[in-house]
Amino acid sequence: MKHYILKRLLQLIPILIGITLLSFLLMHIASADAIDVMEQNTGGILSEEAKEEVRRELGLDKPLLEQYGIWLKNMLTGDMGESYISGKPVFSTFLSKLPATIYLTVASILLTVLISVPLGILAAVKQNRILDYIIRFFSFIGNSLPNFFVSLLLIYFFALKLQWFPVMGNTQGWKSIVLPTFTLAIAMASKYTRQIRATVLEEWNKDYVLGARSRGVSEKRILYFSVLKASMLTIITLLALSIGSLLGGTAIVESIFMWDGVGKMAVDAITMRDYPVIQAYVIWMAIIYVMVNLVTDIIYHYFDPRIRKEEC
Amino acid sequence: MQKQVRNNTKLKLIVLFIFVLGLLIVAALASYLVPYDPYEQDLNNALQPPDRVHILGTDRYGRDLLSRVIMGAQTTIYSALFLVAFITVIGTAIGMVCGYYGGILDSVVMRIADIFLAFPGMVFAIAVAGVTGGGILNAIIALACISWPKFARLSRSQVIMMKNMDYIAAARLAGSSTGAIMIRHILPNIIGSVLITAVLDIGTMIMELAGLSFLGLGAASPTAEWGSMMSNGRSMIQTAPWVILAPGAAIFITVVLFNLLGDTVRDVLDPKQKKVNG
Repeated sequence: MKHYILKRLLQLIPILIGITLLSFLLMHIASADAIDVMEQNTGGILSEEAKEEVRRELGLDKPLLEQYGIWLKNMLTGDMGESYISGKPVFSTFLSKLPATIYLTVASILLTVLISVPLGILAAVKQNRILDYIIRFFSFIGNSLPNFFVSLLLIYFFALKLQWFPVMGNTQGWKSIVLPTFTLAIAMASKYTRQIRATVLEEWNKDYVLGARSRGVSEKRILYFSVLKASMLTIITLLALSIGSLLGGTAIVESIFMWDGVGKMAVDAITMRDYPVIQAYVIWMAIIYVMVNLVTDIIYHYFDPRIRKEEC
Repeated sequence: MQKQVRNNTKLKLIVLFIFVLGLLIVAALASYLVPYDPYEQDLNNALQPPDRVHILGTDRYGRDLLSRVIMGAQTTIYSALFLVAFITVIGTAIGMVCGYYGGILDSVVMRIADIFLAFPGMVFAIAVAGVTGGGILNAIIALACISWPKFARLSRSQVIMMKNMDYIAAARLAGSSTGAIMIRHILPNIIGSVLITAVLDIGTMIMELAGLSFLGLGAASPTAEWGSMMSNGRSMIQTAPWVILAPGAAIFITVVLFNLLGDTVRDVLDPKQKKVNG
């Protein structure tokens, strides 16, 4: 086990270097452009000396790899530069907005699990019966609705018409999180219900189930003690994998609901070409995602007796 | 019985294909089919609810929404199709070469793929589109960056499975060149699963492209594009919900069609999967 964790941590290094390098290069392209933007803003042509001056200030005259090194060192010490707009340090701004996003993400995952685990299992148990068709129909519909459309529909019916929930903001306690959470959970639960159904069915069709049935073990007992137990790991892994699309989805949903998290921060930053903020957002979201995947893999490894045995 | 089911699936595929083809033709001929000029403003008729003159109503500049939705079909659907075709061809080619040759090239390219996969999809797309300053082409590039690894991995694993089979060895002994082996002997065997993935991807890409446009990172106003049309209608949701509903429903119906097509293509090409996925 220790050996496995160590191996996974080592594998993480090139990925992290890749993530930071790619993000660095992206912003490098952007900041080359920044000089042009500056030129336009000053309303005329900057002299070559003036441009050189700016490049030196931004450190753009040094070799690319050296720039990356300096930048990486700063990043590791928590210095990711200042926002072009607010002038505040980017990293602390990111940290201050992160809890709102985590709150929304966790709520969405909980709701997704609450909806899709029972429905997925039910659909599998009632395979090809009317209930299965109904569940599959709704998961198909949910899968084909873009989240910005869902959020606008929810706002129209539940915030404007029925006035049960606020239209935007995260100031009204639990009420303000309901609509954004449902928006994110509808898309996720639709996909996830299908996956759970498929996982349970696959397990259900295995030989040992037939064996248990022929020995007279009750269907309920087979379901609860064997099939679900065996499916749980896959179900948890699939959930962790879907966190990636959830993290991306929060950007759109946060900016529609004016939810003051990192997603909205990034979208606002893009409108104002505030590159350091965008950079912090991309890097840290990727790192969070990679970490979630790592923890999932380790948990999977720890709990799956088949894999554990191979190790020994 | 089994045969009956298969014939039904094939019939379903044909019907869906006709629907999708119809949609593509409408999108292609959009400029001839629109009842009004989708870009012509008529402020006296702004925000008209749906009626006989304007079946889907008008937006805040008095532009006919039906015409804009039809015109938007061209932008949205063909951009998504172009994107999927592009990443399918590039991703599959990269994956096949890596899988066939293996070695350093394979490790390097696959590590690069891992890095792209390490970003949560839309997060990276938002950043790329943001840095490059939006526009439909940049949105396509942004989504292509994060989507090609899926096809590369898929085709790579299939090629690795296949390249040591006897018939490949036979072809090589018969004097076929590497290129000929890949195109004539390996590609036909993997094209099925690549195609399934590609068709199932179209719906997702339509939604993601529209999502980027919704955020102002794709097609820019006044181009008729479903995502940006919805974004423009956002502030009038209370007084004029039809401005959002028209493009929203268009996206929904199109994605449903392509997703149904994808599921059916999978059922036809890969009957084994059907048992589990329904």
